[in-house]
Amino acid sequence: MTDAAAALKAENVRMTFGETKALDNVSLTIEPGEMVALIGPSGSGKSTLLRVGAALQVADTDSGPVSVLGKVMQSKGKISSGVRANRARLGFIFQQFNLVGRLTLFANVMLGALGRLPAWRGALGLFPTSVKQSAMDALERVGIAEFAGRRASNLSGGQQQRGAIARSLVQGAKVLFADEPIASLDPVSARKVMELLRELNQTDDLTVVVTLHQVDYAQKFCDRTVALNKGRIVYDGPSDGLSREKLVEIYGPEFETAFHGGES
Amino acid sequence: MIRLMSQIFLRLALLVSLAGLAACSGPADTSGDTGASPTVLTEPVERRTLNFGIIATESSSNLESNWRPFIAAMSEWTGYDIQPFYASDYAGMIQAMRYGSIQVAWFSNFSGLQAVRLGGGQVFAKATYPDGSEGYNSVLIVPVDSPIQSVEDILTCDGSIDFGMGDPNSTSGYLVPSAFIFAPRGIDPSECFNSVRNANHEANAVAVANGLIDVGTNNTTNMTLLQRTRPDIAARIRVIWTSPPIQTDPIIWRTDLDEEAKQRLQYFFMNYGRMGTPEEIAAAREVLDPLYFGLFLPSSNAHLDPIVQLEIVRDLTEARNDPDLSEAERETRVAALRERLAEVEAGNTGLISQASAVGDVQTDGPAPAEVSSINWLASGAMLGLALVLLTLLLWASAPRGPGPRVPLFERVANAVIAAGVIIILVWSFDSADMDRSYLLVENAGDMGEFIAGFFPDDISSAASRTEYGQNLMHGFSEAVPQMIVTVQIAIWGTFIAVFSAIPFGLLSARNVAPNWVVQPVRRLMDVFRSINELIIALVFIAAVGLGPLAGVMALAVHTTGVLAKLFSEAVEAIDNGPVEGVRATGAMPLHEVIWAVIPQVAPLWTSFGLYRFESNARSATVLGLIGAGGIGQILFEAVRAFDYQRTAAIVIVIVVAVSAIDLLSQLLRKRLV
Repeated sequence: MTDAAAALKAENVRMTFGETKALDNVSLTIEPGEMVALIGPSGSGKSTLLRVGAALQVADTDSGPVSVLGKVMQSKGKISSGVRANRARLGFIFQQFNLVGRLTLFANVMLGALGRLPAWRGALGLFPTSVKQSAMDALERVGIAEFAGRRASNLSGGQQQRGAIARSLVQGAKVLFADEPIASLDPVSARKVMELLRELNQTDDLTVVVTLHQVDYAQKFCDRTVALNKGRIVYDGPSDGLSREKLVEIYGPEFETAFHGGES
Repeated sequence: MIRLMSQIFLRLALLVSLAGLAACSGPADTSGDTGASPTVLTEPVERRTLNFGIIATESSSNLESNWRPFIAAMSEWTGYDIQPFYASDYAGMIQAMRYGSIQVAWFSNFSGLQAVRLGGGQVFAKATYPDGSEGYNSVLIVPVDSPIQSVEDILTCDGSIDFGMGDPNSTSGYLVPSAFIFAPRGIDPSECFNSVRNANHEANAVAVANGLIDVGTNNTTNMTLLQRTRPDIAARIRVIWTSPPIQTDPIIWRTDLDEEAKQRLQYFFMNYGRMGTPEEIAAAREVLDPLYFGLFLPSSNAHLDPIVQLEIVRDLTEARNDPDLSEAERETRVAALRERLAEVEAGNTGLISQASAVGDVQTDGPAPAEVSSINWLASGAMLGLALVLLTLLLWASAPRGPGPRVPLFERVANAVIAAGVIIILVWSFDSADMDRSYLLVENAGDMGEFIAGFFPDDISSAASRTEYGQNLMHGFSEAVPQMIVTVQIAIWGTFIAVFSAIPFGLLSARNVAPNWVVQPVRRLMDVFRSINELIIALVFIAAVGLGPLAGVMALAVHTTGVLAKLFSEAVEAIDNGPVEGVRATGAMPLHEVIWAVIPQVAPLWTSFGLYRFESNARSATVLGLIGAGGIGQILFEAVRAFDYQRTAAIVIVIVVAVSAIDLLSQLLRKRLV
């Protein structure tokens, strides 16, 4: 594999929604094996950056290229032709989990293999034994194997999010983009999910890029933090280097609400 | 999943082949009923099937049992399997002959003319009556105690008379009275009479006898038949007018039928009841008698010449009296019709095969100028009203006092919609006859009286109740098997529709397919949806002939249109999150649809499918009208015969069946969601 290639490399990425500049000439490089937090107030562009990175959203036509593990995902407002193969190596975790509610947890996790199976097998749902095995292993790994037969919609938020992570594991993802993975979870589930991400980063050498609302989580679980405001990177450095002054600069005077999820 | 599917298909195939076997072995039991067995012609090289069409002018339950021995004899004599098809409407039969799914048919004169013109038919024989006569007369009948004495009494046109006309394609019930009574006097029955109802002969006779209508059309054949089968009804009827004689009914085959078949049919019709031992002849007579046939005589298309003549006379009179025609148009038309009449009188039968040319188009003339100017005035007034209404609504919705301001654009949009609804209601008021809705209250008693017809004649008498019970039971035993057929038609119609609506529904969902696919597919579905099942059924009759399959296909096409729309709306309302979730794994768009779209909409789709099944079970009843089988056929006959107790039985069966399906599908839907 291309060990030398960056896990995520964005060069002069621009993205506008109407008048608003969601990403204003953003350049960022994340090396394999890093665990990086993206923080910033609502509308700062952190989610957009991840979505553009996975080519789930198309950036402006005058935008520079975004590549994942050395493969260009999109450039100049056009999604690359081989994007599906590239997406298969990239796990994406959503705030709302985005599991298919009426399918079982097991089926949902197996969907992670769609990118590498022949089309007809995927269409008919004929998953080979190896995929079934890896799905069960992944569920074991995230600690919810006992719920494999349950419909995803009948699981708690935390269980669903861990299911989504298991789906990424079945994909064989080397990079994990997590877009507000804990924003819809209770504090205990949130901590478990963050611990899981950290563990995958440490033991499997998985690159994790996670957008977060709560700065304390960023400081606790991530070595590096990138802060965005109004589509520009305003801080990029070690998480513990975020001083109070810096946070006020990013979030404004009410930054305390961002620090503890509004609790203190 | 594949294994399961292949199992299902295997079972289906097995079922289908079993059903085929059953169908093949079925008719064999009926042969030998007839007693007559002169197999003089050699057996044909291959035993083929000929489809024989019979127009149901009487209740079809009698019809089938009366015709069965005749069909058996026909099979035996010709060496072919004769498959009878009954329809209570001419249109389906003519369509079936045109596209070759009916090879031989018994028509009335006027429908026979259409069959020759449009259906590629040719007259080769005609029926006679048991007394040997070759014709009949149309009659007008009134209740025996009616003050009406002559045809002049009904032509005062004071709007007091309820008139029972025949089916528009019926010779004696419609065309002859039109040509000999109404057209020469320039009278339009619908304006002359209080009401004009179209029904078959038996229905008209019963209606006149019971005083439900004042005057009805009929013919001498049917009157004689009535005297024999229902003397009680015949005794309550008086004839006030008799037409010049009309020829008997033609037997028509397709012109392109092969020579061998033609010979065999000719042989049967010419010799049946004439050849064989005295016992055999007597047996044949017994078969023919209930059909009110004597023997058959050879004939040709010339048989229809008087009918063409009748038609021209009618068109001629109509052209003379049509107020919408300009003088010049009238001149040309009358001249053309006179010329045709002269040709027919000179014996030019070739005219039969021509479309009725000048005659048939006269009603579709351009609307006169005054009408359009009135329309302008009306639309002007409507526009004014709309503006006033709009201003009022806008003023009423203006924000007053504290509270958030509603943007002006939103207020205007709301006012336009509200004004639009009101205007549409006002606009439809007149045409929908809503101004007469007070009659609902005023004449509630009449409705009660009519509805009472569905119940025992005298509810306090036990005898009457018992008789009613027996009538109902008889009706049930006739209706239940037909209802089952209807439901089976609905099952297959819906099944096919659900399967074709899946791709069409996905392709007309904006969040799945690109716009250049969505728009054409949606328009196609609009077409499917907006065409009535009856019309679609006629199209399919061309290919598959009369019978349930045409009904199945008609339901399938129409329902595909409906379901595709409902399906696509469900798809457009899904949560996009799971779709994105699947997309993010590197899956193809097809996989996104299969794994993220369909699981989300499956419960709703199933629910829609079941719901459509319920309404298809109802729609399938209507398809019986054009010969697509099922309960509709007997329902319409019962209604046309004013046989309300039989109608009540059939309606009860339909209500029970539809409610049962409803309950069942509700249970299923609960289970599935």
